[in-house]
Amino acid sequence: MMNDTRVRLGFPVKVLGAPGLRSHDSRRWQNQPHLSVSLAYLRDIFLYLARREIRFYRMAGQLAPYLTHPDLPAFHNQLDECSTELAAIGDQARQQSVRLTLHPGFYVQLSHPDAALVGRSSVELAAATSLLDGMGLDASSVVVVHVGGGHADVPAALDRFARAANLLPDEVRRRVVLENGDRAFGLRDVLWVHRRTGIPVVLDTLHHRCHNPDAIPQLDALKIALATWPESVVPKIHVSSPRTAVRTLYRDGEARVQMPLAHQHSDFLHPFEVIDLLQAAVTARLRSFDVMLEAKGKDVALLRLREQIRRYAPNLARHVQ
Amino acid sequence: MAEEYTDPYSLKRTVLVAVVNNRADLRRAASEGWYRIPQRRAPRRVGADYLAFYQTGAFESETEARTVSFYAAIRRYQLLSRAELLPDEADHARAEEYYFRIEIGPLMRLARPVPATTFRRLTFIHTTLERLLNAKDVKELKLEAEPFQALWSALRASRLRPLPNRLAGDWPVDIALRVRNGHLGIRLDESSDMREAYGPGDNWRVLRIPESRIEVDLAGCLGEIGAALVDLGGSLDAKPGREIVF
Repeated sequence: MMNDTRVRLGFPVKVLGAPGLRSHDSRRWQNQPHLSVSLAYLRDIFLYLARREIRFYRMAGQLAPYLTHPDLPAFHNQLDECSTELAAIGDQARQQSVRLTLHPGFYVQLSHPDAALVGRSSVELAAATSLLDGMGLDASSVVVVHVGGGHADVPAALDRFARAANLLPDEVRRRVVLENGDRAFGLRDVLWVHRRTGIPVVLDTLHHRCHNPDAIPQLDALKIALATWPESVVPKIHVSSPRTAVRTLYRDGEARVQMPLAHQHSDFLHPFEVIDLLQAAVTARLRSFDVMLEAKGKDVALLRLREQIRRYAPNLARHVQ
Repeated sequence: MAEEYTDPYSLKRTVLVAVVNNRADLRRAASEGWYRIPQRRAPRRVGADYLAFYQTGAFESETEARTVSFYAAIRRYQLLSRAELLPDEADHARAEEYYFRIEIGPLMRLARPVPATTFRRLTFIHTTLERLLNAKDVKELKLEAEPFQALWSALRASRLRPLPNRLAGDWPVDIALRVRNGHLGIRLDESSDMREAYGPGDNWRVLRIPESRIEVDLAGCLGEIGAALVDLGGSLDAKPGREIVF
């Protein structure tokens, strides 16, 4: 029987393989940045993705600059102002079969005890949803969030998250997916949230290695996470390798050596670990899924990994794009 | 002028150099603050912090002819049909075509205009503010390690008329060449074990040339393109005596 497991590799935000390609308009508010400029950059990135046959990409969280900033109302109408350009960039993504996702920063904290902060988080998620809707993107374009802080009481934080998530408008909640953490909120915790909200789980393999209190083997964790996704949507996971080299940091003109920390992302992926994971998934005939590679080398790391899979695991290569 | 931009971050700002071949377009850029690029013929990179203008020989009577003398900060991009962009020309043959309307700030004059001493025919150039402020010739504006540009220039030097960013059916191609029996599309990508689920459009043949190969074997790439052109009945644009040798 034909093995249909397919894995699409993607990378987040910055393009390093082509000098000068910007991910978004990063000008400060005084210089009037605009979503339309970010979309022009995104159009150029898509042409690069087409040349590299990359079909999975995480857009910059700040694509629409200051969109929800409470003190800068002049920026609040960017989605309406760019409706044509958003639709065009969505068409381009569909034409190239590129899956697009978003991953807002840690300021989105639905578990926070402060109701005002939860309200701000909901506004951010609604804005991200509107952006994806404006592009006409389907349900595979998800918004990845973390649970947030534990605030000394993990069960209470989980409960707050689930309650806040269930209060989100349907169209927003449908886009939200939840990632396991590297210090708290392991797989068991995010599964708890999934059971109460229906929000699918994004397995982050490095986080799982750093925080796996239930000693769930990686392949089992993968199976569990994939099963939380609806049949109609290709699940996604995050894969990265821990930094293993010392870093020299310069502060106030002084050089300091910093030992590597296990939760820090390395520049490139450990090819054999990734091959082992993907090979195990293919052998187990798991459903197809997408892999967001969270390496500091971004697209360059992706292209390097592809080469390495071809070289060291040629039988796996036909399952990986 | 360069002294105003001592902040290294500012110098890394990107610049799209566009070719202006008529006074009306430059006047519009100066007075109304916008410039247009047809979406169909847009360069691979339209996104930039600044727009600069290379004025062609059409500005013969002015000192700015064949130089980049003006640039402006980009404020906004819009996609508009030509009819929306130029309502006075609503009955134009390309009235339905879409254009990037690039809204810009006030034109600024470069303290040291960048002349084109050797180049006469230019397309869009994507560069940095640092290069724009320091270049002594337009050819210095081009960013290094740009395989597309290398292949493009080589095709032009071979008297072909490459077209950028076309769609071969649903396949995006980087460069298209017109041939007797359709089009030859060129994709600058690395080979992949995963095949497309669909083929290119009718009357298209698509050649895949890895960028890494252009960097080391441009002549071989041109030879392969030449062979494909012959297979497809020959180019519609090549002029006698300047064919690609393969």
